[in-house]
Amino acid sequence: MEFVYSTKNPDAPVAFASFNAMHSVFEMVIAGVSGNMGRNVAGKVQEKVREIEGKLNRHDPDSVFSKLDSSSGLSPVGVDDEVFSILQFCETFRKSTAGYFDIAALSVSDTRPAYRLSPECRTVCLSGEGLVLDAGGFGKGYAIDVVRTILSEEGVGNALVNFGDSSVTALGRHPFGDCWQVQARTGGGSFMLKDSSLSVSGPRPDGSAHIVNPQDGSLVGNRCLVAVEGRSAFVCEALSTALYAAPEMMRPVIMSSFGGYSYKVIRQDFKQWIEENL
Amino acid sequence: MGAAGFLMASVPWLKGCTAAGQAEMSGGKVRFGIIGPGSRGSFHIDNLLKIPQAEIVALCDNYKVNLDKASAKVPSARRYDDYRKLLEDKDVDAVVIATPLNLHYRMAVDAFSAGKNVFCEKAMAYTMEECLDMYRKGKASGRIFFVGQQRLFDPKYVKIMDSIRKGDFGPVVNVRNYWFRNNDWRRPVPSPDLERHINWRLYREYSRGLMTELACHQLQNGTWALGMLPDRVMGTGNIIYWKDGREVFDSVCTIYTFPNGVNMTFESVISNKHFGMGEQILCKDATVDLASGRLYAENPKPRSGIRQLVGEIEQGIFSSSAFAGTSWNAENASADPGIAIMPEAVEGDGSLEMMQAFCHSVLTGIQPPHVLEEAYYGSVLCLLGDEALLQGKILEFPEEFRLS
Repeated sequence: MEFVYSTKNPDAPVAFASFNAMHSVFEMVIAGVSGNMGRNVAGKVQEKVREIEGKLNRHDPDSVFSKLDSSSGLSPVGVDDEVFSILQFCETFRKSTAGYFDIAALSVSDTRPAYRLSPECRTVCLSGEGLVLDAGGFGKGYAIDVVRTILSEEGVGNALVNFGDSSVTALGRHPFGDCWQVQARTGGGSFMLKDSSLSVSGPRPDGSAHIVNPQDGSLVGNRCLVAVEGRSAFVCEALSTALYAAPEMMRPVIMSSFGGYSYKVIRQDFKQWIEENL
Repeated sequence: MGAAGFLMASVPWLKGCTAAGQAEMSGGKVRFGIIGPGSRGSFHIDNLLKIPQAEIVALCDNYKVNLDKASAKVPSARRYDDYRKLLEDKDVDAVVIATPLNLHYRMAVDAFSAGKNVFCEKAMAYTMEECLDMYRKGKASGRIFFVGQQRLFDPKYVKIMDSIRKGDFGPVVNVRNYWFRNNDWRRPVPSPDLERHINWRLYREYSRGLMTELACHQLQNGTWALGMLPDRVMGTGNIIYWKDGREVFDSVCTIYTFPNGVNMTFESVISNKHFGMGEQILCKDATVDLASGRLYAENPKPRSGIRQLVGEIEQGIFSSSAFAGTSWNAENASADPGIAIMPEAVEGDGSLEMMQAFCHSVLTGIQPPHVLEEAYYGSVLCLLGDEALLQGKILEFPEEFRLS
């Protein structure tokens, strides 16, 4: 982990931590803490993020998601309370988004629900063969929510957390402002975050498509980005994934079920890109 | 200075694709005769069938297989096996000429004489002399005359060329065009006596090979971007792999040099397809990759993440951090992802818009400026390049082929 602590501005000591996780980079700025506290909190955050990654990374043969995916529905798989709760939320999101958020979108099977939960046994059973559960559409957002809880418990009041640029959460405010200001790197979108989160979904930075439309299994080719702002980064990420895949007319319908959350379609600003890069 | 120098001042040739242009065409109909409804001709038929202002009333081909296929698409169209008969058809307002290259000149000139508007596939004609005469006769006829340079109608080309011409990316320092395939470029032949008729692209009598069939798509990029004509060309061409009796090169490499010293290359090999098709405009500050539709900065702004916040807080600055976007892989963080030229994916390559524009011009009687001149120079450049390959010499652009 990279950790930087600065007291160059005596009125605003600041810590920065960064480490690789979930095939991307986790970054965090914590304002107004001591060096020891910053390092201690960053260590706890890294440990927890790694733990979550260990459960959700379906490419890790030891992860719960990997075991679920390889079970082919032949037998229930025992999960801990955290994963059980995540899967409950994911199924709720699927129903609330007309199926446009679907952690089984990569499956060859269109059986839905893709899994059954047994609250008594704390087990999960896939609904058949050909089903794959993937955390790509919510994992970073979920992890950020957990990190926010850690930061609050540790007494951090002001921080900005960024996971791979696609999921961001802000606690409190910037030392010299009344919020944390974040812009889309493509231009076209600016957000004032204060105890709120932001998630952005769209094509990869190189323009290639990667989000699958759960309705037909095709890659979504929209060039716009969809940003969702609200309290929970988990909900923001699930919603931004769903809204990006959903037809334009469906977006307000989906959002009507999510009070306290708003969305914005970001179209790249070609002129701004030129001004900034050339 | 070629017509390209004035091209991006406006885009009047796209008016037919706008709402205003559509309104001007309201109620009008252009009755088309298709001469040569084979591969490319069939593609044009498909596009014309999508345009409300177009009606295909006649078809002509001396190869019955192609004529039958076209008739299946447009059963109501009259059938001809001689283009001169089609030109006598009073119901035909405009012809699409999509025949082997060596026939373009004669057919177009006859069409002008018959009072028809002409859309001719590129390259314009088999020789530079024919191109010039065809240009002059088309202008003198007062009829609408388009040559199928569809990139002029492709929105991403129009947009990016405008920025290039304005100097947004610094001066143009190089233009790279290439087209790599890995096939013999042959079409199935039902009987040996039809070999030259069907595989005309492989024989010198009919075609100038890769230069007229592929380079003519791409050489226009340099004149468009630089606003000038190259003044010399050199290159080499050979038959290196497909030694099957063909007469045209299966491997060519040409360099066109502009008066300011900037080079434009066209390279084509049809025995290796790894690099596919590419069209790149290299500027001092950015690279335009037209094939992928993306723009890349030479020195992109560092991807800061939120790291920059530390320095700003140290200095007591409250600002906005621009990093939110879609996820990126840690190992690829240093690579510049560039930016898409168009904010939304655009279907097609400009061919449909080109036909819409042609219909608009026929119905309004207005030949859009510069389009024909651009096509003329595109064709002359590919023919001059082929001459350089054949002679093995550096050839200068002949003054007599500059349009006044």
